[in-house]
Amino acid sequence: MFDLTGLQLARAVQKKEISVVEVVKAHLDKIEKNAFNAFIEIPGKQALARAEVVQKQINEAKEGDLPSPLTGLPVGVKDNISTKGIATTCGSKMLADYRPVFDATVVSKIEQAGMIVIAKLNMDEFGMGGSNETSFFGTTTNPWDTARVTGGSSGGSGAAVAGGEVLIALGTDTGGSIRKPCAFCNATGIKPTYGSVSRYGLVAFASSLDQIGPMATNIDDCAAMLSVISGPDPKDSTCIIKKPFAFDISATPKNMKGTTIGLPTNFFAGCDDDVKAAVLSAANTLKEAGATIIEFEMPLTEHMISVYYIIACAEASSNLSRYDGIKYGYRSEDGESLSDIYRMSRSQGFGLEVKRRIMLGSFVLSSSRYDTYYKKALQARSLIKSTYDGFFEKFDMIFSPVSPTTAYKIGENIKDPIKMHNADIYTVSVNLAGLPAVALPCGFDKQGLPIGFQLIGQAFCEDKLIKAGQFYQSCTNFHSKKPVYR
Amino acid sequence: MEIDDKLISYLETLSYISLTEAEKAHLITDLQSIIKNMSGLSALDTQGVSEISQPFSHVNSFREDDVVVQSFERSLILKNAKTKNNKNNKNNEMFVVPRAWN
Repeated sequence: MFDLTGLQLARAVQKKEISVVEVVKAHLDKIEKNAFNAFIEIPGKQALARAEVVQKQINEAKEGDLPSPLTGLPVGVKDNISTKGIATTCGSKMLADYRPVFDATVVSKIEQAGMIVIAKLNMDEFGMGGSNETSFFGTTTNPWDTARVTGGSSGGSGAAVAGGEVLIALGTDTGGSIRKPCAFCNATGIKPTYGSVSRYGLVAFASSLDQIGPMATNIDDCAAMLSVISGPDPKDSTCIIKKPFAFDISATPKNMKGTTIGLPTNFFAGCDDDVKAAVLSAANTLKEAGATIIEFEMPLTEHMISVYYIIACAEASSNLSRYDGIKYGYRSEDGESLSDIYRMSRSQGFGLEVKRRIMLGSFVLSSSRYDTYYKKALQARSLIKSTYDGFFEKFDMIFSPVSPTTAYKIGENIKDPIKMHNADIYTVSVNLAGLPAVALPCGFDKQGLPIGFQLIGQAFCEDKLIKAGQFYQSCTNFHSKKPVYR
Repeated sequence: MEIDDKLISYLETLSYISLTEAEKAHLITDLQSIIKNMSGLSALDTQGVSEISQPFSHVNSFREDDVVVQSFERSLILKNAKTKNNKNNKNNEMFVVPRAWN
C-alpha cells in the first residue's frame, strides 16, 4: 500500500477493498521503527480509535457522499501544529511535555474530512533551521542517504513521505521550510499563499511569514490536501481567503501552451552544476511542451536573506516571549524569584539556534537600531513585493531552483550560520511577498541525491501552479523514484 | 559594528535569557558575521518607500463584545502548568509563582 498515492489508498479504503484499521495498523507497524527519526510522537491508540469512527462513517455513507477524496487516509502532522491531548513540542525542550487543549483549525479540518492523525513529525526547533539539526529530539536523517540532512524545518515531514512512512504530511513554510525538505528528499510540496490556510493553532515563529501546507509524493495528493485545509477561519483574521480552494485535478493538461514562465538567470549563478543542469532541464521540458520561457534578472537578490532574517527574527523574539515557564512549557527549578524563573526557564528550555534568533530579533528591534535594521527591512519587503507584482504582469509563474545544493552531510554546515542562511536564497522572498509556490522533484545529482525546482505564482493562483505540476509529473517520473533503502 | 560583552549582556536583558560562557563565545562570533551581512542593506535606496509588515493589507475582523464561545476548563488549562500546591492554592486552581513583592 505504500507504493500507492494518498488518493489511491483512500479510494481503496472508500471502496472497502481494505479497512481503515488495517491501513492504520500497517502504518503503525512501519512508523514505530522510526527509521529516520522523523517522528516525535506516534499517537497509536488515538489513531486506531479514530480509524473505527472513520470506518463507520464510510460504512454508513451513501456512494459519493464522503467528505473528501482523502477520507480514510492516515496522515502525519508537523509537531508545531496543535493536536488536542497529543504532544506538540515544536522540536523543543521548552514544549517537550506540552499537550494542547485544543486542535489547530487544520487538524479539525483534516479530521472532519475523515483523515486520521497518525504521527507528529520532527522539525527544527520552533522551525528555526534549514536542516532539521536543531531539533531537541535529534536530527532527522535523509532516506536517500542517512548520513545527510533532510532539509528543514519540515524535515520530519519530508523524510516520512520520502521514506514511505506516511503518504501525505502537513509541513509549515516560513522561509522555505516545506520546499527545501521536498527538494532534499524527493517529495512534492505546496507553500500556499499567505492567508489561504488558517494559522490558528500553529505555534508561531514569524506570524507574517508562516504558512501551513501539504507534502506528498505527487502534486495531486498535495492539491487534494490543500483543498481540505484551506479556507477562511474566524479564529485567524489574517486568513483572508474567501472560500476553500476547489482544485479540479481530474484532467491533467496535455501541454503548457499559453503559459508564460519567467526564468531568473541570476538565480543559477550560485548553484551546484548538477542542480543547475537538472533544474534547467525541467524548464526545457516545459518549454518543449509549449510554455514561453522568458529570461530575466531578479533584482534585490543580494538583500533578500538579510531582509528575511531581520523580519523573521524580530517577529520570533516577540512571539517567543510568551515562554516564561509559568503557564505551560519547561519550568526551571533553579529560579528563586519570579524573574529568575522566567530567565532560567528560557535559558534552559531553548536551544542555541533559538536563543541566537531571539537575541538577533531583540537587537534589530532595540530603540537605537530599529530604523537601521527593522524599519529598513520592512521598506525592502515592500520593494520585493512590488517587484514580484511587476513580474506577474508579464509572467504566469516564475521558475527557480529550491536550493543551490543537494542534501549535505549532517554537521557539515551547522556551525556556519552565514552558509546556512545563504542556502535559503531562492525561497525566502516568496514568504516575504506572501506568494504561493510548488516544489517538484526534477532529477538527481552524481551521488544519487534528489534535486527540486519550484514554480512561484501570483497570490491565490495555486491552481495554475498545480496544473503545471500535474503536467510536469505526467511526463517525468522523478517524483515516483524511491530511495534504495526501501 | 563591534559585538562585545556589553552588547551581549544588553541583549540577554532584553531577551530574558542568560547565556553560558561557551554560548556567549559562539554568539559573539555568529552575530558579528550576521550583522555585518545585514549592514549591506543600508546601501539599498528606500527613500519614500512605505513599510509593510505583512504581505496583504486587510481590515481587522471585529465581533460583538460578548462571550460567544465557552472557555476552557480551568483544570484543563492548569494541566500544562508545573504548579505546586501551597497554603493559598490547596485545590490547585492557580498558577503558582514566587512572591513578586513583599
